[in-house]
Amino acid sequence: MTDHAAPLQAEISGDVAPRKTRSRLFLKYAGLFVAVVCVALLTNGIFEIWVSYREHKDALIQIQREQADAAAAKIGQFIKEIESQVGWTTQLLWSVGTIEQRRFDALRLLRQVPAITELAQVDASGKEQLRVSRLAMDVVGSGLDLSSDPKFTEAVKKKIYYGPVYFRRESEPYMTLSLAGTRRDAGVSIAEVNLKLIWDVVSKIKVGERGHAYVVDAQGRLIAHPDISLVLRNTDMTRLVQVQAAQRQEAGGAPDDIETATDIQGRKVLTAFAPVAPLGWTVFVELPVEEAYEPLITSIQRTALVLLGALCLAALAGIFLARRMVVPIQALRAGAARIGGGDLSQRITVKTGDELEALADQFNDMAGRLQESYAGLEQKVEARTHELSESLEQQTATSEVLKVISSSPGELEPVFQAMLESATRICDAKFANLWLSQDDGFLLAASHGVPAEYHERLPLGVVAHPGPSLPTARATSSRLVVHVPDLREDQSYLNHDQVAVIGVETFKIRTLLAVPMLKDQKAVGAIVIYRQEVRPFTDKQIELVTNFAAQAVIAIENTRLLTELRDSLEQQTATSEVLRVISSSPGELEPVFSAMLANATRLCEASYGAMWLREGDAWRAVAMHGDLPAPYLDRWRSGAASKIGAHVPMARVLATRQPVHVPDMREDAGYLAGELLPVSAVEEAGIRTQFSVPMIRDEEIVGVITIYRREVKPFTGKQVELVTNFAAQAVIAIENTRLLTELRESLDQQTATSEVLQVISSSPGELDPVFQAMLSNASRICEAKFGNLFLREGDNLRAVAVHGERDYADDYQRNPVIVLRDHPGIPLDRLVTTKEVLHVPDLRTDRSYLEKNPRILALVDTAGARTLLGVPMLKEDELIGAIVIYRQEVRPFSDKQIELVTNFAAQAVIAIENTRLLNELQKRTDDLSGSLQQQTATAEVLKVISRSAFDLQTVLDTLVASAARLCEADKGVIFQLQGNEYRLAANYGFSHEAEAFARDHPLKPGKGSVTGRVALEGKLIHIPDVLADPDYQQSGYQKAFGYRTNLGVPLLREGMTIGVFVLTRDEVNPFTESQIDLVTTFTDQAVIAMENVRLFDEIQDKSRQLAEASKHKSQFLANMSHELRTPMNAILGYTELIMDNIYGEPTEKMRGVLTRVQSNGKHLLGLINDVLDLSKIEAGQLSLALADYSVKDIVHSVFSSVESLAKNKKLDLKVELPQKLPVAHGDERRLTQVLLNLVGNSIKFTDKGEVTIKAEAANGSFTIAVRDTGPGIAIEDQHKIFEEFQQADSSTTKEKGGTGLGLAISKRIVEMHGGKLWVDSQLGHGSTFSFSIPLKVERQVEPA
Amino acid sequence: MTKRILVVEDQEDNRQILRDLLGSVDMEMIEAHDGEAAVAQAGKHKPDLILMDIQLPVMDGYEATRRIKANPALKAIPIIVVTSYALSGDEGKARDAGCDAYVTKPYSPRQLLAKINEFLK
Repeated sequence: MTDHAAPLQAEISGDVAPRKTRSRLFLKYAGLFVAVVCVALLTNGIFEIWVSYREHKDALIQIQREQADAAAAKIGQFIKEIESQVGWTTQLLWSVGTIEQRRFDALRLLRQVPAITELAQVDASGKEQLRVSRLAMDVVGSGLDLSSDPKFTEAVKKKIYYGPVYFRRESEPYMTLSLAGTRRDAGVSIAEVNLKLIWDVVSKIKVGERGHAYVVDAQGRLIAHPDISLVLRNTDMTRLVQVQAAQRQEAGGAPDDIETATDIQGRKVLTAFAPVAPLGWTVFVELPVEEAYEPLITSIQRTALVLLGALCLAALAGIFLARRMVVPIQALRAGAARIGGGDLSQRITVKTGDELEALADQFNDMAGRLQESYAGLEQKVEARTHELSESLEQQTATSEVLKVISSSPGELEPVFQAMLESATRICDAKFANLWLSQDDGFLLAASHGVPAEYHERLPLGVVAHPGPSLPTARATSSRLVVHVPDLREDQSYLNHDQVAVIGVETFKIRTLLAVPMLKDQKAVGAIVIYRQEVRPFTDKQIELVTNFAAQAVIAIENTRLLTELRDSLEQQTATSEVLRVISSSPGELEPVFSAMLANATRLCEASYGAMWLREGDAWRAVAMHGDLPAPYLDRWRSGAASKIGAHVPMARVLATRQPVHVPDMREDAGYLAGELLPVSAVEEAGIRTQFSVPMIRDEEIVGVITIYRREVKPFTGKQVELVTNFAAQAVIAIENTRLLTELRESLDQQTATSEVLQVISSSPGELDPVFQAMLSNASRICEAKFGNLFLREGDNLRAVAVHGERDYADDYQRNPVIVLRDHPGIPLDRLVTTKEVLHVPDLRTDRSYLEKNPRILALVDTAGARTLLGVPMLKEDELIGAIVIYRQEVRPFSDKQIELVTNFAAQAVIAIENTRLLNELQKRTDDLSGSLQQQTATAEVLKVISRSAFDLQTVLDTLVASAARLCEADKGVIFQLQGNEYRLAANYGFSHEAEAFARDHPLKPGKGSVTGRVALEGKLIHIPDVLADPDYQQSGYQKAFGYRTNLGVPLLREGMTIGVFVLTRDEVNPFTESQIDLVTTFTDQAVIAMENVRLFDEIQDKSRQLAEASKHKSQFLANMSHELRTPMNAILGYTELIMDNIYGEPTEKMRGVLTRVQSNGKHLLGLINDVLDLSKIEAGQLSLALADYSVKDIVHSVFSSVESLAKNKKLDLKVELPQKLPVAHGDERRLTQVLLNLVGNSIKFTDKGEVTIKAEAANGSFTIAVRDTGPGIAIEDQHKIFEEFQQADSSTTKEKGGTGLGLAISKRIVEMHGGKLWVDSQLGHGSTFSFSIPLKVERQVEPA
Repeated sequence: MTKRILVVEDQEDNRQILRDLLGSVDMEMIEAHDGEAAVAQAGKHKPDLILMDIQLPVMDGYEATRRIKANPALKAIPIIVVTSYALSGDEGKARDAGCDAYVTKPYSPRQLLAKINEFLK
């Protein structure tokens, strides 16, 4: 639809808008319209189809259901009829009537009811009495027993019985129907009913064209169907869902509305059913679905056609509506675009009469107003442009002038010219002048456009003196712009000033403008422009000229500055040139002097220049400049110094220390006195004017610079200054040169020395490079060609360093020793003898050469040596060597050079000495650090061992690691004896794999391995290379560990090798004696560590066993005491009950016995309790209940509980308590127990006298003492009584009772409080038991 | 009114003592031989007081005490633990289980009776 709409739209809207946006709005409108119509129609169509489908289906089902009902009713009727007919035959009792009558009745029935094919009658006992049949002979009295047949039994039970349907002759369906009589002996009639009629009924039911009906019995089997073959096949219909639904409904289930299902042929069908009432059968009516829905499909097709038509209509309507909307919008857009593009006369035409038209009108209105304001703007722009071009012109002029100024710096003429030219042109004037103030008048510096006659009267460069009333004069005097609109009316003209009158009359000047040129508020001139008509200048023009005037001033100023700058630049250039020469040729004075003179001469416009240096009283000309005549040059430039007379200007300079300026030599005193120099200067060189400047250094005149002119023309101040300046620089140059030379020399020497020192320090202990450096430096600095450094060896000299060409050096290398004995008298021999510096300026004149010593001959004639310098190397007056250098020309060495070589010789001695000391030191240090290292390592190992005494692994690891490191072994292991094998115990440096291998391969004593061999022989074994050892067999080990050299040391305890310490190296490199010693000390440590650990383990094992046993004992006691308490309960309980007369009053005798039982029981209990307490303490289970308590309360409570006991024994019980006792902190109950035990014991063992309890507190603890007057305890027994089950005298136990545990327990309790319990006693003098406890016990003390 | 005491005790001798003791002051005694039976009997008879042994078959006295005290209907019944456990901490354990008094064996029947009367007052 859109495809054909698009081109249509293009025709309408034209090509103004882009095509892409053009179709968008249109599509949107049209599409929306079509969509709305489509949705409405589709919804309506689908709804209608759905409703008609439902209705149609319901109607069909209804019809089918009715058909089924009718068929069911018909079948039911048929059966009922037969039933009632047969019923008649059962009315007759067997006791009444005859067989014949019955037979007759039966035959009649057969006739009346054709469907009954056979009728049998059975009597009440189940015997068949009669059978009448259409197909067989009648049978009477057959007596066939049917009493157990369902036909009979079911009928009797339910009065009526419907048998299953069966077929006779494979074509006709039959059913047995038996009926019982209502009376008792009426019997049963059995009828075989032909059901062909049902078939007829079913076949006759017409359902559509292809539909059909069928009947199914209660079990779901097909009874009747138009297709008889299905029935004969005994088809089971229960697999069909509709049949299942019907059965469920029959069984009383909820009605299951199945309307569509599959029939037995597998077609989709509409189905309905109805039950046949008495039989349990069901009639089904089914119609194929496609047939049922045929009208429905027709209806859908119809609806679709309508929908299609409606869609076409909607599309057309949509296109129409969208076009109406879009076309005016396009027109608006196109118009707006044109207006926006600048076509303001454009008007948009839209005649829709709605908002769009209003919008178009607004656009038009806007375009109209834009057009108007646009026109106004154009006018303004024109005016501005005019102004702009004017000022641009002025600026251009100004810039032109500026350009001229900058392009011709220092030249004023063109600048003024350009200025006037521009001013005339822009100000529209006739001509112009530029005046400069000068000498009270005006100089005409420039003019432009003036008439020719004007210059005839007033040429350029002439100073005029105008009258004060003239405008130019007024302008400069007032420093203001003077604008004369009309000269005829100006005061100057009116005053008849000559110049003004001429200006007006002759040059027709009318309007003029005079602008002063101001510099620092002073008029330096004026620019004047003239017009020949009366027309005043505009403000802008005046401003322009003012501007030009200012620029003219700047230009004048610039020019002045530039000139000054140029002058000074020239001088500076000259000076800098001289300086450059000085710096470029340091140390050389001649070029410096030449440059100086050349510059001075040139700048001072002199003819010649000369520089003289003073040498005592004489002068030497060191530089001359200028084309001087040869005779003069020859005379004064001889190089030799000349003495001069006192009248010579130079002598005067020396005397006055001032420059001397001689304007004319012919009139000078020296010339007049006939002195040689002035006369020669005047006569030979034609010198007239002369200027001499002294060169002063350190207040002393060292020379003179003189410049000459060949005409009489004195030098200016500036020139004098310049030469003075040069003189100063000359002095500096001379000084510099001197310093530089000195510096160079000393630098050379220092460099050499430092180089030597550097060599010495960089290679300490090595002398050869030092000697070589020394010799090379000495030769170089002393400008020697070659040389030697000798060391003395007895009577001979050995060359240890040679400097020179290769042949020479090779010679000495081949034969370094000079046997002096063979060459007596040669310079070296003399040097050794005198031990002094030997300087031979020319060897050819030396005695040894003249005596033709072959060595010297070779030296001089072959090697070309001429000058020799030999310096001895002396150590404490002992000659230990010499440095000898040679020159190949005759040129003596300077003192400085000799000094240098001497210096080197001294350093060589020092270096030799240093080296000796250094070597000694090094050796000692090496020795020392070696032993220090060993000691440190040993100490460290011992530290580790002592720190981890019982951690054998750490100790062994440390030992093996330290030993390996110290003995420079690559790896090391310790094997330990376990059983009869040596197993890996520690490892250093071996991989995990190697370690695992070693663990898996314990070693046995034997020659095959180092460890085995050590174990076998019990001594140290050192194998330098295991691979070269014939007995070595442990290739597995060797492969795993990769060692070559092996050192095994036994770990010996009581002569037994309990382990082996092995160090290995991966390369063949035997261990040194000291290393082996070191390992031995380590093995001792290893043995000690192993022994320690063994002992420690044993002790630990024992303690563990002891602790275990002790724990078992305590546990046993605890259990036992618990078990003992249970029977004790019965014994003591019953005793008490009897004593309390619960079982009646016992006799007095019984009561006595019971009292004994009770007291013995209680004693036993006390024993048990004590044992329990003790065992608790032993088991660490007794814990104190710490709280605040009063000591006084404890004493009092004990007192009251034993008071009666004491009274019984007639003992005096006393308490001694201080007034105040502090509050204490501890376990009150346990402490009471302690005191009770002590007091109880005292009372128990004391037979007469007294028992005293005394308490006191002091020093943060309290003490309670129990003193008695008992038998006392022997000293030797005193310690025993605190042990378990001990009493002082075991014989008393029986008498006094007691377990012997009380004191032991008390002691433990006191100790748990951090206190102590003790006894003071003597036999026969009573005992005092005391205990002291800290006042504040905050934590219980665990038993040790 | 006759007071009813539940005695939880696995030893016949000790039960007999209590039978005689409580009978002599006309108290009714109900017996339980283990902890589980104790809990059942307590719920069934609602005794006025319980004497509880600790070392018992099936369920020990601590647990039985805990269960009885956890039952809101029986919570108010005083329980006196009567035991031959006399180690430190045993009493603490009994108190934690919720008993009201703690008496160690062997006890004096007279003193035990006094304790019982103290609770029945």
